[in-house]
Amino acid sequence: MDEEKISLQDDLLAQCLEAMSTLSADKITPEIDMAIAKVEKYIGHTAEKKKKEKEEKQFNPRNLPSHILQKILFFLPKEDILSFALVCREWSPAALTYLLRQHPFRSDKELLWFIVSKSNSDTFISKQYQGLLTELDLTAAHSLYYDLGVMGTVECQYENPLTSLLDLQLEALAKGSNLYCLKFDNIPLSTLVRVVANCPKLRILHANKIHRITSKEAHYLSTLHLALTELKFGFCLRNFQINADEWWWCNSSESLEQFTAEFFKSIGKTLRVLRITDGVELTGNVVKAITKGCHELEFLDLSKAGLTFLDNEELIRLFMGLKNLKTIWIRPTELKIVGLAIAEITRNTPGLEHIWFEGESRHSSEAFRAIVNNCKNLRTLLIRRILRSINMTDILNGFEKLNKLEALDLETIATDELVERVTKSCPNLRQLNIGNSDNVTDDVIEKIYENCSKLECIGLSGCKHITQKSYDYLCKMMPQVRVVSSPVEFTSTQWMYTINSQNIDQYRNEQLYSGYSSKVIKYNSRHFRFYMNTESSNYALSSALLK
Amino acid sequence: MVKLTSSDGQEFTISKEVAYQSVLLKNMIEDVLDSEENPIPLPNVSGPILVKVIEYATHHKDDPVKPPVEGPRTSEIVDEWDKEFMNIDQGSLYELILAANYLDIKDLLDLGCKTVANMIKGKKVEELRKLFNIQNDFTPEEEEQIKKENAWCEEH
Repeated sequence: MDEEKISLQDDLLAQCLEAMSTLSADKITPEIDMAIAKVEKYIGHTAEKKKKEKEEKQFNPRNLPSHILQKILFFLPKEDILSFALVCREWSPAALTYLLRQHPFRSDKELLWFIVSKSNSDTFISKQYQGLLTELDLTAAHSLYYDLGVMGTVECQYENPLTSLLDLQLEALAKGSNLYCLKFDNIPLSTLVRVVANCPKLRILHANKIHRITSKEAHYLSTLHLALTELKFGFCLRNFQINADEWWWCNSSESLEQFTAEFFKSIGKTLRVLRITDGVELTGNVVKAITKGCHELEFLDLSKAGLTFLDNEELIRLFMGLKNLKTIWIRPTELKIVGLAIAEITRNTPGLEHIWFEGESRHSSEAFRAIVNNCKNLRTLLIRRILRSINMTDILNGFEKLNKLEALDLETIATDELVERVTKSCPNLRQLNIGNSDNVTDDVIEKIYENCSKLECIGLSGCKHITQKSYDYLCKMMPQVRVVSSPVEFTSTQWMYTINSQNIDQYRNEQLYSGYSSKVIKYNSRHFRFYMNTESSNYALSSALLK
Repeated sequence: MVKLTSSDGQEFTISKEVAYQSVLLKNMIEDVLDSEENPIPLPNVSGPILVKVIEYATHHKDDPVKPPVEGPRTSEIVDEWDKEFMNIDQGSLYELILAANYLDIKDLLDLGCKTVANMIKGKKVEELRKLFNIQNDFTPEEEEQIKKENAWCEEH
């Protein structure tokens, strides 16, 4: 109806215009002239609009279906495809997907390393890469596109746990795959089970925020006896629901505990790295499962595990069986009497190389003495709160023995003397934090320069008595050192992360070498990354070549 | 003989031989016994385009079955008749491509896509947008990103 009105209006205006054009020149006043101009403009405008509409109705090459775009691309030489991709958003995905398929690594025997870029990303996996794919990180992915062949590319929203497409996608992807490392968040247990059951080569699994746990699946998972070497594991309790349906497991901590214990027991034999994240409560049963099953464990991260239900003895028992432990990472916010446990732990596992205890302790002196006497190979020591309650003489004497230290946190307790002694006895120091210490002066900078040739990072935040001059001196004399002067930047958490990621990489490389008896010879992210810039999607694909 | 009705109601009568160039029509004719009586409706193809399609199918009805082309694929159109046949405006070209896709006439679809590919070949992005009357809807950053990430394809 509106259209009719408008066209009627246009007709009338056209008639008026015609009538006015018949007027003799002397009768045209400036007002009439202006009116004519206005009407002419209006009619021109609407005519243009109509023309445009007609064009749009007729056809717009923008809207060509993607399989036809692909067909056109098929006939184009490679150098024109990029121009094609840049024409508009509608054309871009087809062209970039096409490029992806044309990429030289297609024919080579390569190890594909799939890295999802860190923000707002969708992950695209082409079916032909399935066998090549060995590492897949979906923790930052928004959604997964997996080329299912016959069905075309199916999209599934990653953050929506209820979509069964995700199951389908991951399941299809996992089938017959060479996946070695798989990381994802926010995943229903049913999917997890089906995926890992299809990945015989899986060694590294990061599954955070597991939800919708049913007892059948939980049981099934523990019967799979995965040969994992690294596990990062946690539940998403927020998503737990109590449901009358027997398929749903309610959020009773008992069943979760039972599942955790069973699972750890079943995969324990090969596990070397265990990182427990949110939602897992350590109880006596779980501890028993870990200590009985995981003899090979070298790296234990309990920084986010619930330790409320553990008493000191149970904590000690946790470490009794873990003779090969090299790294422990605990933040026992609830445990006040951790000191004796530390002492006991160090006696049991003399091979410890990295210790991070965040928390107060009643028996700090005993703990420190035990560390000093038992851990000859210690490389990382982050126990600032414990050190705070020990007298300086003990600390000064203690560090004489810890001459392999590479990372040390002396925040608030550092003094000129302590830094001098430490730097002299620990020539391998790479990271040192002496922030917020009132008793360090410019002298320490000279000592650090003299003794710490391997230093990579130093924390100097909030050191009132260190002048700008010394600061500049340090920057000038040791240009390789990163000087951290803001307390936020040098929290021990972050610090520990950097150290630990190095460790984990080291484990991983060993595993890679042994697992494939081959060496990663090329890792060139520039050549193997792809972006797809439709609305919010970009793909990133990286690859490392195998010799 | 086979009767066809275009989207705008025009009726066409063609020989089975011509109709068989289209996989879709071939299947339909084989499924429906009395196709000579009842016209086959083609709601996705307009009259003028159907005329073109029939022209093409008639010209090529006696072609021998082509062996699959080996070697590097090319957008070159060898047949002079085909070249002349594709000398049409852009709108009809897209409609013809879509019709060939719908009717499943592989050679015509290839011919259409080759024609578009020839239009694209060697042109810069700006020229392409102008040619196809497409507005640029990328931000400069996005454009830069795509160029950067796909730089490899220009190196080889």
